[in-house]
Amino acid sequence: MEGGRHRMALACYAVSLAVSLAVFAFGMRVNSPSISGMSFIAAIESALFIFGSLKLKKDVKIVIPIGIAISLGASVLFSELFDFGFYYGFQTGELAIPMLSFGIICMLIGYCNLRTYRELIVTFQIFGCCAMANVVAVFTYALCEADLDAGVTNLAVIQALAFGLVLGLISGLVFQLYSKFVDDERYYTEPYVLEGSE
Amino acid sequence: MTLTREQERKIDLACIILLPLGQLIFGIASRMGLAIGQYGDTYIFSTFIVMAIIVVILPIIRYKRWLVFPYWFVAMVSLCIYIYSVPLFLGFFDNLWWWDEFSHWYSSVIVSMIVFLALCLMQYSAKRMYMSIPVLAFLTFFMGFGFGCIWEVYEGTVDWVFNGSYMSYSVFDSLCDVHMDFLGSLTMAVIGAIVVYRKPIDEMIDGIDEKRLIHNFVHKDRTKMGAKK
Repeated sequence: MEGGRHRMALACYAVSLAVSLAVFAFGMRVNSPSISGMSFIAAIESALFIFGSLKLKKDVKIVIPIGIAISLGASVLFSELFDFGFYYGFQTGELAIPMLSFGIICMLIGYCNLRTYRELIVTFQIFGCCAMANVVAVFTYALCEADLDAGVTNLAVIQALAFGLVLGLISGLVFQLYSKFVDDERYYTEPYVLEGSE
Repeated sequence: MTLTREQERKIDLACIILLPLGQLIFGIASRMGLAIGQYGDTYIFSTFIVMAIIVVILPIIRYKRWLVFPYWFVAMVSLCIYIYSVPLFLGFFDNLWWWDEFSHWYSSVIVSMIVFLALCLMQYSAKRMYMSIPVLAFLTFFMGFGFGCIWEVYEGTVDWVFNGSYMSYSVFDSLCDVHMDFLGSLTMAVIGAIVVYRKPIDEMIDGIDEKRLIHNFVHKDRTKMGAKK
């Protein structure tokens, strides 16, 4: 049973990694800083999930890699549907930010033995989303430097950063409300994020 | 050298008077048209008024002993505020190409330092909370870097509200600032990790939360549970 669960978790991480790499390749092809940036982080996270599973024998709950893969897919889909100009999916490509930030926090709790409180997790989530939005800015800079400037303006960059902040605030609030209504415990440790340890 | 409570009180009082006074003097000078640079006198004057209010917050917190910060911390944060405001008067942001980058790097170091201190205080006060040193360093970097985004949004909002380019200087301004935020928060994360490796958190933080405000906040759930029982 445990072996089956472990294999299923590994399969989910592998799928998440494959989706991340595919989206990264797509993002690079269409010169999208947000899609490339987000999928780049997603690929690193997925690789770390696999590493944690194989080396540390700790499986992060499969809802996280599945959520990452779905959010990446959603960001590509919304980028197809809505065009905000400058770069492909400049803002809609950031939809994966909350899941990626949450993935990092889960890794810290699961692998690095972080034990903390709900309010602090919400704070980490908000600032984490902002940090992810900054990564988009770093990728935008790289694309601009590579002479692929699509006439991007400072205002557009700030709008992209503001979108990351808004996503952080919404996801932080959602987590706060969800954990308050579903779970009374204010203290988060390994069992909350690892498969088979509840 | 250990200062007595009375000596500390006098130093705090001097900080409360002198730190905003410096800002106000520059503010008045800018109102008299003495400021160098392309910014309007009204903008510089309003900046100095806002900075005079901000610079006095930390000394007041210390004077009231809500949180007894070390003086090096008060000095570094105050210096950060002066590094931003006075060069605005002196026109450094127009004439020195690297000043904006430098001020962003330094501000990012200071913001990350505040994050680092806050996390250390949490760890110290909440006995159930645990962060290993690498996690502490990572979270310092993560949150310091994230704050850079909030600052850029603030800069954009100011320019949008006042319909000008007071805080964003070029097309790549925000992009360059974000790089400096990255370097600044990384610098502080490394320094923080080294400091905690050399000196235990308990020893470093001991005495700051004199009135146990953070301790009580962290333990509010348990206090309520105790009251119910």
